[in-house]
Amino acid sequence: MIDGINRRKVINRRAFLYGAGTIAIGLPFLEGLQERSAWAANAQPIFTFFLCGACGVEPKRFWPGSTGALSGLLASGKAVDALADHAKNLLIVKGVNFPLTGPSGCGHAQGLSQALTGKTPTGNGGQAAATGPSVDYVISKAVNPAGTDPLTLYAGNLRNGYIADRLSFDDSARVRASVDNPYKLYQKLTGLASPAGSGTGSGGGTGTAGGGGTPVNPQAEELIVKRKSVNDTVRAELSSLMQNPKLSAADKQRLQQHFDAIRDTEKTMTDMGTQMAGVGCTLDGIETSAYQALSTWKYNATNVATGGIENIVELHMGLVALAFACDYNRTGTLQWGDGTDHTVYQTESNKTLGNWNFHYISHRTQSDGAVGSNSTAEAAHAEIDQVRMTTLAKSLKHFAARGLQDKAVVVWTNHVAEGNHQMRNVPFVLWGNGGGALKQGQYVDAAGASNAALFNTIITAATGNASPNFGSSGGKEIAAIKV
Amino acid sequence: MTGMPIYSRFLRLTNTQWENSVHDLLKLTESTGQSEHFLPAVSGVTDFDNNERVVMVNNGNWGDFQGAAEAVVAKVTATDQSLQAVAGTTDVATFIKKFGRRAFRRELTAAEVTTYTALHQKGSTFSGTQSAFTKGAALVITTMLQSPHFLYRTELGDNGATLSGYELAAKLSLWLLNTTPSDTLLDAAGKGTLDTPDGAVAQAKTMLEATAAVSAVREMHSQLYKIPLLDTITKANVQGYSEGLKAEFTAAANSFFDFIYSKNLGVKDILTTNVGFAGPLMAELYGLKASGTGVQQVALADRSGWYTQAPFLTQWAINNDPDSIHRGVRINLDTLCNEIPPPNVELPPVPALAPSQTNRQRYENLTNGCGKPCHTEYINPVGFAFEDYDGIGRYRSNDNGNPLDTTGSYPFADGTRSFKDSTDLMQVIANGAQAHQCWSKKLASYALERDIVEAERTTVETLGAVSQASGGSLKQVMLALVQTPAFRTRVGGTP
Repeated sequence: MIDGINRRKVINRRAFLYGAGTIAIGLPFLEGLQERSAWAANAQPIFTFFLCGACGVEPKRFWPGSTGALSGLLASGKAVDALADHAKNLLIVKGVNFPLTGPSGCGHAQGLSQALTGKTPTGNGGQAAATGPSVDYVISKAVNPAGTDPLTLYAGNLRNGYIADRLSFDDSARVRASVDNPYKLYQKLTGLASPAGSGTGSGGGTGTAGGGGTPVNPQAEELIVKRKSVNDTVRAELSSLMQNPKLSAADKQRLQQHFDAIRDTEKTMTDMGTQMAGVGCTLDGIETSAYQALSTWKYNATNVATGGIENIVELHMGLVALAFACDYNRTGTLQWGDGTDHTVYQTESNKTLGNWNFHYISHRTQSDGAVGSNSTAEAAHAEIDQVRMTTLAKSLKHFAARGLQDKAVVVWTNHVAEGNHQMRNVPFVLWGNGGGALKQGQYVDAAGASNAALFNTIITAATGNASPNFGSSGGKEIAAIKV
Repeated sequence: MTGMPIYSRFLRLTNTQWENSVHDLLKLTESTGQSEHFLPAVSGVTDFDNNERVVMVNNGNWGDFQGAAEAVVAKVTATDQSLQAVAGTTDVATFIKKFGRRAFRRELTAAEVTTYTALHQKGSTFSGTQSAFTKGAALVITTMLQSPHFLYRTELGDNGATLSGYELAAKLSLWLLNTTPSDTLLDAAGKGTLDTPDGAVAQAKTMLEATAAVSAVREMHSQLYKIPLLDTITKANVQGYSEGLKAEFTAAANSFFDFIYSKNLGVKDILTTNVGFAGPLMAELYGLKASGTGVQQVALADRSGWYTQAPFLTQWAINNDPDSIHRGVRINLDTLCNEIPPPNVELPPVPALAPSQTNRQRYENLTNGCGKPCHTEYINPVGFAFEDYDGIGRYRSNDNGNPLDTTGSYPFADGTRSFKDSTDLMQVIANGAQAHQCWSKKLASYALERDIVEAERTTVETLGAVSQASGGSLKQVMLALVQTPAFRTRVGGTP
């Protein structure tokens, strides 16, 4: 039996199901309530999230002036100044390179394909592909229950016809599909937590919170039985199909993937509050109307109606923080911008330019292929960096408000370092100490270490695996970022 | 022709196919809207979003199908009356066989009838004010909508063998109508009507005339010609351009390809017709008098097909200047299937126009070094043919005060040919084999839901010849595809 305070702070599935008398409301998010034995058995989980911004940064106006303690460093007119409020929870890392430091052909797909895999990609142009799984997928396999893949989110143009989804990769290095509209994730999460302002986190139910033997709502129990009947039938059908000797290995794998994805809603709810002490699984900070306004939203270049694509990012991130606090998922990614991001940011310098798209700005000339030296475009790039870091700062407040500073690592990086496709000294901004594993309040130099080594360090923090050998790291970690 | 086909026997319904199929199965009066929230297919790695490499059921979308099935069934079985609008019977066996055939796109086996009868019995005992029959039916329908037999279009016969009549019916209906086969089509399949090429063609002919076919073919062209990009056009300081044009461009593009299809026209017409569509804003660009609201069919004298229309010309331009390189690249990739390699890194910027320099001269200077072979032979000549259109598709009579030069030559697969301008180029392309084969290849990829590879060149050439022949229409090519072994037989892949 857990104490009352903790119990009120956490999601309580039994209470939730009791409150699921309105089954029509409960249906969309019940699928998140599959068995999570790892949670109950292990110590405090560490949540990880990886954001990857398009088109690099304007380096002269991005990084702090010198390495060292961040207190005092974030007030020198650089883009990262926007993160000053989070200084004590930040770790800014320079000197990190991608495995392929100089791209061949258009470098965007190559950059995306190694940004989170830490391995040299194959191919070039728009068809460049990853050669290994991404860090979120590796972590997910270790810490998420079977059947739960990483959250894979997107803020940008999914239908650009060139390089779109290209950040998260599975074990076979196949790119994974992403969700571009926060409303979709919102629908799945709504109801997982308590109503905003309740301060209880008890699932919004009217029944007795906690384990104490209270019977769950009969309708919810019946729903579980129905789902089991459906799942058993579907599994049997898949098994029968897989017996067909004519099937290729690829077809068997496809059906097995389907089979493995089927999850039964757990029959026996246990209160899992003890490990989540101090974490807020409530709808506080989730602006329902903002999400509902996106029910039919589709990307366009300016996104004026939604307050810019940066607002989409923040709405995504608010939900990620909620998902972590409610243990809906423990890791994920957000790709901000497609490979050749044609989003138009309404910054002052860009108004002077006449509203160029971001890819043109990053190239310093109005071209997807050529690279120029327009100084106004350079200033516009720096302003976009400020927009992005400001958005990151706002997003991190959702994580901070839920008490995730010592239970999570949120990583900002880019798929190229600069607009010219350079892949050396790629930005890395980390928030959260990952359970005490990472330095905080510091700006450090990784001295040319690979992103794979950085991810190795995070994998160790997130999974407890003391000697991961991620990507092309050769098992190395980055000592400069570790406590 | 390169690609990485899996030759999968299990092609998951696309999100749109799921939506349309459920709509038809449950006899709904409007879309469920559920698929709007499904995980989309991976974007940007295949030509089309129905490619076998990006349609599957996995951890990311399994819950989508589960939740959607439950939601729509809850509505349909809310009352006994609402279910009867779908079931039309209260006999359990009749219902299971009838609904099951439509959902699984074939007759159910005896074992399946037994399984689903048991499910119905179980469902009938659940709580609710509905009759036992309705409650049982709810569990049956919920299960069938999550069954692999519904979610996947299958090809389960021996490699090289003709697909079963039911498999062909599903393949035809999901391709041509984007939905599950009708009872009529399934009846025909059951009678063996589709077992011969002529029989299959006869059924396809009927489907090609359905309204749903127009939408289905529009979707293919939308992806092929990158129509969604029209909504992302950005312009800086271009007099005559307004944001309202983007919606007109999209509507005009869709209307154009609907017109080509519906009027029994073909690839030649895509490239050469002077019929276009324009709204009030576009009419100004074309120098026409606006009439009415929305896009209307217009005659575009002196313009020749899709590539000379404002949507394409505005999309591939830099502000008000023609983007000769990307106009050329798009035509190479989308209409000539010339797989040009990606550009080098850190290309020099496009310089400002020098006094008395033409846009063409500027690009010629720029591409004379780096990337020269691709540019001078393949990309630039095609792009330069459109130098008489500015950055928003208006006709222009000079280039920076100089005479226009729209002439060029191109090394087509069957020989180099010269042209004097875009109209001439489009005519040359329309008369040659390459564009017809290219469109046929794209069509086959969309219809077969996989990449097309070198071994299938003969098929592509056969289809291309149909398209190239006098009066060759899109529909004729589609019917020709139905008759090919690539469509009608199980094409074996790797073990």
